[in-house]
Amino acid sequence: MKPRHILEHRFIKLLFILLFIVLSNITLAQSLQRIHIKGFIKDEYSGESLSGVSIYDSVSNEGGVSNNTGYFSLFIKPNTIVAFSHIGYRQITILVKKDTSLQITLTPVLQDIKEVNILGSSSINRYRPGGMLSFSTENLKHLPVFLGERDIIKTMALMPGITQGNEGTVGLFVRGGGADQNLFLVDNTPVYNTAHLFGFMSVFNSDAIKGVDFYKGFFPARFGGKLSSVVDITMKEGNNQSPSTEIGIGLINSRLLLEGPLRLTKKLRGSYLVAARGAYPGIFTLPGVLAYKLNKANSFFTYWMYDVLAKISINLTQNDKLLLSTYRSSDYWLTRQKDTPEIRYSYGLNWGNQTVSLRYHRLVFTNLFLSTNVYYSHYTYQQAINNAEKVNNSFITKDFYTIRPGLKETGLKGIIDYIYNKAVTVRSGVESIFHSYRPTYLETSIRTPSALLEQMQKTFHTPENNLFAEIDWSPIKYLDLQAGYRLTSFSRYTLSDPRLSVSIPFRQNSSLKIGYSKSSQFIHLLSQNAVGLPNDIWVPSTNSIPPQRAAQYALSINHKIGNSIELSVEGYFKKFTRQIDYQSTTSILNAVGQSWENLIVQGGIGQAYGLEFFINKPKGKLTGWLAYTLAYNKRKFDGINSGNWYFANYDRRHTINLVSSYSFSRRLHAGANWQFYTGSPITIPVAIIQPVFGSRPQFVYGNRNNFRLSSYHRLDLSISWEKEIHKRRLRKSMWSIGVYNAYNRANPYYIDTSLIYKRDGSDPYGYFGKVIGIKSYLSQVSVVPILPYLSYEIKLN
Amino acid sequence: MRLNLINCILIGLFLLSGCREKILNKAPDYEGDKLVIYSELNPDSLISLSLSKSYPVVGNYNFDKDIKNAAITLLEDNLPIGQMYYQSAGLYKSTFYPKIGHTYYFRVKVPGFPDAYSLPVQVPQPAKDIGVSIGDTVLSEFGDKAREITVHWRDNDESNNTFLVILKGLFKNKNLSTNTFSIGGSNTTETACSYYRDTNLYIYKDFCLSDKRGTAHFGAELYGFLQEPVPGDAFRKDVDGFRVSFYTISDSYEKYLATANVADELLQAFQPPLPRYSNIVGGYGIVIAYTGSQYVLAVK
Repeated sequence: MKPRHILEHRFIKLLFILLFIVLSNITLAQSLQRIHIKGFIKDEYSGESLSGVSIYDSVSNEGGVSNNTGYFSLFIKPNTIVAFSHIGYRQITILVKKDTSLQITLTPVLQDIKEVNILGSSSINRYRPGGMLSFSTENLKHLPVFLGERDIIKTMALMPGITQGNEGTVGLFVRGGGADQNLFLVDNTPVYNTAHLFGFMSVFNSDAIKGVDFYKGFFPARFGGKLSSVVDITMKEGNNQSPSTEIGIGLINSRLLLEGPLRLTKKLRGSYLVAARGAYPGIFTLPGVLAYKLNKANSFFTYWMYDVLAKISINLTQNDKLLLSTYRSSDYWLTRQKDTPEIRYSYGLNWGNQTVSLRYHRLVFTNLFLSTNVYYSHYTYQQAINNAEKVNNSFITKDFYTIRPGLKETGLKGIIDYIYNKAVTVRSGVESIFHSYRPTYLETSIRTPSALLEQMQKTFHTPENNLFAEIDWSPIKYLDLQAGYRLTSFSRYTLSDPRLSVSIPFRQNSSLKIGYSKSSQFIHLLSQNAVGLPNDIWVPSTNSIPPQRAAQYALSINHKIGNSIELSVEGYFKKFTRQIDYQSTTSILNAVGQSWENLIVQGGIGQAYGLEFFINKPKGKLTGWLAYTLAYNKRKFDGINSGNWYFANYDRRHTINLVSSYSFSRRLHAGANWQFYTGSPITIPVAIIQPVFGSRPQFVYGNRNNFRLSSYHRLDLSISWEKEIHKRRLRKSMWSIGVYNAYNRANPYYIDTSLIYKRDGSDPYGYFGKVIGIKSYLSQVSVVPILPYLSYEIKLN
Repeated sequence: MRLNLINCILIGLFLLSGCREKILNKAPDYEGDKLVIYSELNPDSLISLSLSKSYPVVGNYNFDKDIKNAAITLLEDNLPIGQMYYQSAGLYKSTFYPKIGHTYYFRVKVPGFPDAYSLPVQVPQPAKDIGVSIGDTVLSEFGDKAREITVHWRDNDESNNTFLVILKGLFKNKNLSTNTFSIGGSNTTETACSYYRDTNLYIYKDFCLSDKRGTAHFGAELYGFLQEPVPGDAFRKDVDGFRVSFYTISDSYEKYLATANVADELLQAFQPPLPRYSNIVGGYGIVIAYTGSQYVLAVK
């Protein structure tokens, strides 16, 4: 064992010993003068349980938050006025005199334009670790969106420390991390591909999302497996009060949400929810398909996509709850072309996710809570090329080339929450996952040696086992600690990830937060492009490719001015080790017979550091935020750039996001977003050399990422008009009209290099002849101009 | 069978929006002129070297600078064996033939340029029992008539050999650009055993050979276009023969071919760059070596 690990283990051991010694003295003494309040918190209209609700003594600000089933358990002083506060809901206060069990219902504040919260940040809540953000999608609907589709991922990209890849795409780059280094959990089940419509839309249906907790700094120990962020998405359970239908109709996409109460027996009740979306740009290419079928066109393409979430929630008893959910998403692209009337080829591309999750929550005792989750997640991707010849009036496949990489994961996770006393909550659990990776599964008519084909069709199976423990501890009024430790065994690797968050509230509305997180990633994404294409190939750590590691240190100062302005400044430093990268343009999809392990450069290291400034106004007629990030992001590989440091892809020095929403009345709302970020670095040739072998001059490449695209900026505007169709039954409709990229900025999508040859005139037609000189230039290609949108939503109860 | 995914997406995006292209006024700083060295080492030819310079990536210029004042030393197995002399148009010659199994490199000095030298390159052992034959008429994937060409060979006893087959159509002994394709092998993809470059170039690795014997089948279309057209004459010509080159190639030659970026320009835009392999230190270019023969097959 290396000395660094010994120190790490000693640090953890020391920390826990210290914790228990102090716990048994200070906090027991504190708890003697306390009363115990506990209960569940729900939405008044839908009956949905509410997680992340802040429950606190309105005088001293001491308290806690509800867990993901809406349960809370706190020790407070007798005769305390307790406040229950949650984003998007009206705050309530209750006077508590003795030990009490409560059923709290919070009212959404959609009816009250004076209290519209958009975002819950860690800046004001002392119990949240630094760098944590919570989102409620309900109140994002008045912000401008791309193609009329609300997208939680794109909203996240408006936060400090987070940038996007290419325009319009959903890849998130968090504090210098790659798009593959974010853990996306939907109802505690991992989802690997987040892109619909080639990345222009995420796979997460905002209509069905109850809330999102986003961690970019300190990660609680119950989360692991990715280096840069955790996106913990909780889907709605369904309205258990009355049936409800929501319909949204857009130009190329529509959505439907059905929810309502479920009564299995007199005692056994619950709720259901079905949420579906579809996009059909293929409808515009239908004439082309028909023309092709009628032999009046030589080619066509078509594209469709959908996603469906179905969820059932059953309250077995007052203290037991069972949740079953399944999710499926799929995108489908087909192009067909006739070279001659007798020969045609087709190109098909489809990808999607499927998940199934069964969760069971039980309140074992008033201070002991059990959560278990059994899940299955499957990501698959298929690319098929096919040549067919006409024989007897029907086409017979002559050549084919199909690759079907994929990933399957079956997991079991159990967590116990134990509320020891007012100051201490302990959470621990286990998680076992069985991974199956299929980096490339090839079927082809191309003659390939059977041994190589066998290698290309190989599936890797790897078990992963995790143990984790967390403790939330407030030993004194001005100190909150969250410490955690995660121990993971993956293949031949055993790794430990310690985590620590310290929050020091001072004065009435200020706090200082310090965070440390170490994390490991056991799977790697081999994807060569930056445009959101779905050719994601996930490969595991192997004997020759060790897991990626990262350690992050963060420090933030948070302050709240009055009741409506939050300020925070956060600095971070992140170290990456054991990074991988492609070593050539050889695509793994086409590298028939080659091991993917030979196509990558490994052993890279990285550094990311920066400062994030955030001003948030979450309440009132005018809401929104201003986020500014100054960031540096570098990488170093022995096999790239002669072993020197270079700025990583998507290193953006400055990022500014200005987000605002104004409510003129209950019905009329306007929104505006402005985004600015420094252009990302790309690699441009450094010289041209004249032809000797062959006939064309060649580009010479020098340092990696030696050039920056021009800055990106864009303004989006929207106006939405809500109307109550039936006041008593809460039937509502909403028209939204907006414009994306309002001033039609030509933002860079990629850089093209062009060469025009000068020839010696020996060929009178100008096609041949010796190249005696060139004219060359660089051009910037932009793909998304000003894009207006119109959408209509209706909610029927 | 070839289809560009990016094209498909951009077609889709065109329907929704439309691309805009703007010529940029800025470019990376030019690192200054460097020497560019090319040399092919073949036991049948005197050692020669082509010398030129590099140019900025953005601009409008002619390749008109002829470097006549270079001091070039040729080394064999790390020992200097002579100086190269200027002949014409950047071409330098020596009086030595490369020998099979020996290594060679060059040291180049030119006033006003950084010094450059090549890494040692070994002249490979040739393959044995090479046979080339022309077969029946077959149809290409485009429905054009083609002739089947078969090449077979036996690996020598050296390890890690790489073999190169180049197919060219002929018209009155002049080269034609002619479509060729592999029969039963790879035309668009790479394998550990073989890959394909530039429509008429096929590479094979010896460790995939069965019993050290290799056989490759090709189709070559029966028409092509003159690579050096004669004014007034038609470009398109019917093939009257094929030239088949079969070589055992050096490691540097194989890497040079392998790092040719075959993706089209649009696809390249989304890829990390592929630096073309170079064994020149202090400059650019490549020194390669090969042994083998050319065979001419008449089309009747």
